[in-house]
Amino acid sequence: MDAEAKRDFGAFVATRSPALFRTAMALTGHRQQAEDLLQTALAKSVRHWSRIRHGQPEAYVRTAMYRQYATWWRRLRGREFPTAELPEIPLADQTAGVDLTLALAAALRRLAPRYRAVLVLRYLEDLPTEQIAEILGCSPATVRSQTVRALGRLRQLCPELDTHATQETSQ
Amino acid sequence: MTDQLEHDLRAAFDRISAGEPPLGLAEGALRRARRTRSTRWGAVGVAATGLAAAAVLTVGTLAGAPHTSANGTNSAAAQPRVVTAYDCGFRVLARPVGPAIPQFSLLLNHRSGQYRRVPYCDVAPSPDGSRALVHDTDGSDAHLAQTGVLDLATGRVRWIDGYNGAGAWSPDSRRILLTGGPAGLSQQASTEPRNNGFVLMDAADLRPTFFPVPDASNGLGARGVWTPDGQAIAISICACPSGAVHNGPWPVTGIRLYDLRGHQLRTLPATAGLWSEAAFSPDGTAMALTAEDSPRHPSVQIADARTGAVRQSVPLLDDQFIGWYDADHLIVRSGPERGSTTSALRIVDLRGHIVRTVPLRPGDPGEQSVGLSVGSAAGVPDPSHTLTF
Repeated sequence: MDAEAKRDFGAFVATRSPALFRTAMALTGHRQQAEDLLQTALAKSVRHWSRIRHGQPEAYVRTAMYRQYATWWRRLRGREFPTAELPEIPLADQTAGVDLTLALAAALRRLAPRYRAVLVLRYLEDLPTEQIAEILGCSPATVRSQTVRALGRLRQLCPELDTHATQETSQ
Repeated sequence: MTDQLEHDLRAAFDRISAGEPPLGLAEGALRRARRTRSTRWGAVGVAATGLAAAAVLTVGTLAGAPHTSANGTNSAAAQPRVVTAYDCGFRVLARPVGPAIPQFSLLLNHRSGQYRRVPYCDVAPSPDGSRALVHDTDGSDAHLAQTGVLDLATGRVRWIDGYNGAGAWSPDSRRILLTGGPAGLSQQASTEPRNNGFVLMDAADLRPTFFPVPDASNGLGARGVWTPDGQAIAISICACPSGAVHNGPWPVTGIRLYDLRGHQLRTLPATAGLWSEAAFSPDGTAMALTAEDSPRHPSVQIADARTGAVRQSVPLLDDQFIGWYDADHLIVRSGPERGSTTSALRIVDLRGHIVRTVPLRPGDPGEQSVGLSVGSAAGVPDPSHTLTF
């Protein structure tokens, strides 16, 4: 990589790293793993920088991040992760929304990585099914079924979701 | 999916993803990319001829007794090694990226035992010590990066026409292997399987012959590797869908061997790839395969070179695999990412136990370099054993 490309790469990272790191954090739920994930993806982009710098480098890095994450989760064999932050039953007061967010965040951290990736792409990145399928290297049908399963599992891990939904409906 | 659940999910993701990115991401990515890409190995000695070096190896192997260095520690084998080149990138670690960064490498002069500065990146000395592969750009977008052959006697560089991939010398220094496809393709064309493969050429005339390998792994740092006898090329292959855009390495599915005419010899099953020129053990019976993509605790798989069967896994604790030291030991590089401020080379046995540490002290040439080459120390004047190990 020549000097100008390095400067260009540095500028790209400086501008886009907050958004990219946000995605990495949402995927991993752990700061250290997020740093690993983002840096691994950026290192991959270095090799191809000369040809991606004038295209869509951010899309490239994001895709690299998801695929890297997929590599990791294959090694973890779909494990769910224990968390020190156990979800608590929310109380019916003004803090209920905050409690639900906490419980849901804890449940997301425990969710199997492949499920979490689908949800991040859908609800954090707001991507359509076809694009999610392309990024994850699977069919749109698989994305849809994974989304349904992820939400089902999330409801099991965070029963407060249904409680909250019922309360909102009754109000 | 209710709007409420969707809202709750977005709020939860906002909470999980909050946080500022770490500092130095760009520098770290550059450093990491160069470390992986630049790992290489000088197959045999430089000052000695190939025959003499082979003789040294034989004597060392037969002698069998551990070598005792000047500091009293036992090394794992009788044949001493030395870092033959440190690649560029020294300033990347200490300063922000920018146009003022000098690009240079350090190349060992085997006669004097001194390192000399050469204005190129990714320097790979040939085993016979007469030349070095260099990689460079002219600093502009208008021209492609180039790979060339530096004549160490004259300082003249002959640039290779049409290809600029990572290079490796054959053990006899007569041929050059480049990994990757043609240079100068458009982004789309460069990702097409037909442009994926390796290039062979004679070091005398540098006429490249491209051999497409559509399913070659194009992961960061993945490279073609010479077998120790110089009669075949090994390439990592992957389950890459035909026509798919390669946005990173696909999972490695095997190691494929080709003869020097590009004919496929055989494919061995594998789940990790070739990331170092010294992937084959000195006797050629084993391969050290690594998965660059491991998050924090990479290991080396020791696989049978005939069947691909994994014999054992060597934990590396985030160290970088450099190459084989002898049939029972590996050389790895640790730090500075590993919680220390300095780098060190370590000789580890096949259980991952450290047998010897060779510190690259601050101020040593290339301590902060991101890539290095290791070769035989035969002929290097080093009475105090500060260079050899």
